[in-house]
Amino acid sequence: MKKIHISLRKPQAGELKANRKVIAVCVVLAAMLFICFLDDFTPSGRVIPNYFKYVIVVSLIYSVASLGINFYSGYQGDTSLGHAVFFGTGAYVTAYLTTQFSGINFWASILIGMAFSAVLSLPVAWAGSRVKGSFMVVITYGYCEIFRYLAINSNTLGGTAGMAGIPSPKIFGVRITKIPWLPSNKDGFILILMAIVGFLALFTYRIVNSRVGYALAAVREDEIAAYAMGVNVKAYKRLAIITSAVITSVAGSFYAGFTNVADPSLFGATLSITIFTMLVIGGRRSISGAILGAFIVVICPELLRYVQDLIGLPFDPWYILYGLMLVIIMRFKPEGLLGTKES
Amino acid sequence: MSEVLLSTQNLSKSFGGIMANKDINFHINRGEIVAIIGPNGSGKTTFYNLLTGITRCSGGTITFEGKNITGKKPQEITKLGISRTFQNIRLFGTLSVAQNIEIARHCRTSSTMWDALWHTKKYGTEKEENAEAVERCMEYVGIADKKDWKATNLPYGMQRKLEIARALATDPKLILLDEPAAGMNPKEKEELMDIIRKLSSDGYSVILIEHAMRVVMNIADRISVFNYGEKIADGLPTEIRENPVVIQAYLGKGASADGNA
Repeated sequence: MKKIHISLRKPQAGELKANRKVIAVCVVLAAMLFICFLDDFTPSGRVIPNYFKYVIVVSLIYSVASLGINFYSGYQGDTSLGHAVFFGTGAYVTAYLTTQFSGINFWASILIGMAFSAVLSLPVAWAGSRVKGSFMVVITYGYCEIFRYLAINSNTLGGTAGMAGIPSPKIFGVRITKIPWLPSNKDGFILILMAIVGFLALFTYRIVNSRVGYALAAVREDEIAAYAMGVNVKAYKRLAIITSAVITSVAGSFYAGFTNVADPSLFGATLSITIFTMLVIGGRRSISGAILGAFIVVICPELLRYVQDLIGLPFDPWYILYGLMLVIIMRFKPEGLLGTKES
Repeated sequence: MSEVLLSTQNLSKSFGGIMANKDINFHINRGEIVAIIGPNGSGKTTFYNLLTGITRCSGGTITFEGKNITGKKPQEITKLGISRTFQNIRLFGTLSVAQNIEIARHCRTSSTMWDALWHTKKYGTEKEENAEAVERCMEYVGIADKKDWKATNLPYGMQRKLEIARALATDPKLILLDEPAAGMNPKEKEELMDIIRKLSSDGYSVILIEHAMRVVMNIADRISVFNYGEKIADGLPTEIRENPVVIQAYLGKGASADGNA
């Protein structure tokens, strides 16, 4: 009897996963473009409410911040409740420069904001090379409170009211909000932010799988062993926080350019916690997780507010459900929705 | 032919008032296997920490290949060619075996974030070199079939071997092993001794802290004995076995004198 071998090459587990990822990215991209351009092809009126697009833009801005904190709290592994410092710095630098000096270019203000944030991240790096764990949580929290009070008490920065009247950014001389071939004033932001999020995703992916990313992993897992492998632990901790701060700062600048205001709450601990929560819900050290986390945390309250209006609840159900959701996710998926399991 | 690779002159370390290491004069030649033995708390691991720069010495000098390396940073010392393993295993737990070894290539590669982002030529060649080195190191200690295992999921003995593979991946001249046989079964101990012998015959110098006397007596070219932070004896295994000072350190005073303790 002859055995017949049928050799159908089975796809490897890794390959399948990679394929699935590519498909997921394509679907999300297509959906976004659909949302952007649909109204161009509908003959009368708007199908997609502007408010919905607003939520998408804010989600994308927070995705940038969430990808930013991922470098520090994800890959380097220290908890930060101070990333609002960098978000606020980006926002305020953009606000100040575009309104004061007869309007410095928005894009230039992003770069200057990044530089400021990089400098402001150095004290955190300095503290981080001396203490760790829960001490860093308190230190970063205190750090962002300092800046909130500075912003509140500074007249040049507009005090409690913050700075208003920030012009929307221009691209090739055209305001992003008024690009003629786009159906609404939000679509320009959606496209640009999608490009930025896409670039950051690629950036993160490639860095993490390189010599630099491996060194960060070593620092996170065991500092002493990292030293013994020839990793300059302090330098890599510094690198992680600076990268993280610079990316978060970009999110802040866009926030100012989009909402046209910057107020002291952008330096607040609440915002810090929100950014950190996005990352933890989505999954630390997961790129798609960081983005998903941002969308969940931004979209859920809006959705629940809508539900509240619909059934006429006297209170906002969000705050109860938000807390409950966090508890449930941490109970059943402590590594985050798209994170990888440890141990 | 016996060229000195590393030596220490009056190396000392005090923690507060306690002398963890006191005036240690130690040397190792190229290709030699030197074992350091001594009761618990006698300063053996402190000595390693001083050699690798993880703790700073309070006095004395360390000379490696004729150069004074006292006070150098740990990452610089690794780059010069001293590599180590740890008594309480310090692997990068959540990473795979291959990744653990690839991290150790850090000190021999130099690609930056820029190279990684644009996948430059340098990035490509370094990745290839690393993959080869990882393969070679895994085969050297015999864990090639566990390539994709998560480090914490390895059996204890294999974790010790992975630590050696990781130390090897830094291209060292001198390897410091801190109790590599601890927790190993007799078969694994045999394999470990083979690995250490192979290291020595391939030109690596090995310093070995070990409590398992069968391992020490079998493979060490020379033995140094530490007690209360001081080096109390140094010599061939046969000499150390008979040395009254050593016996006294291990068994107490009465035992050494005339055996009627």
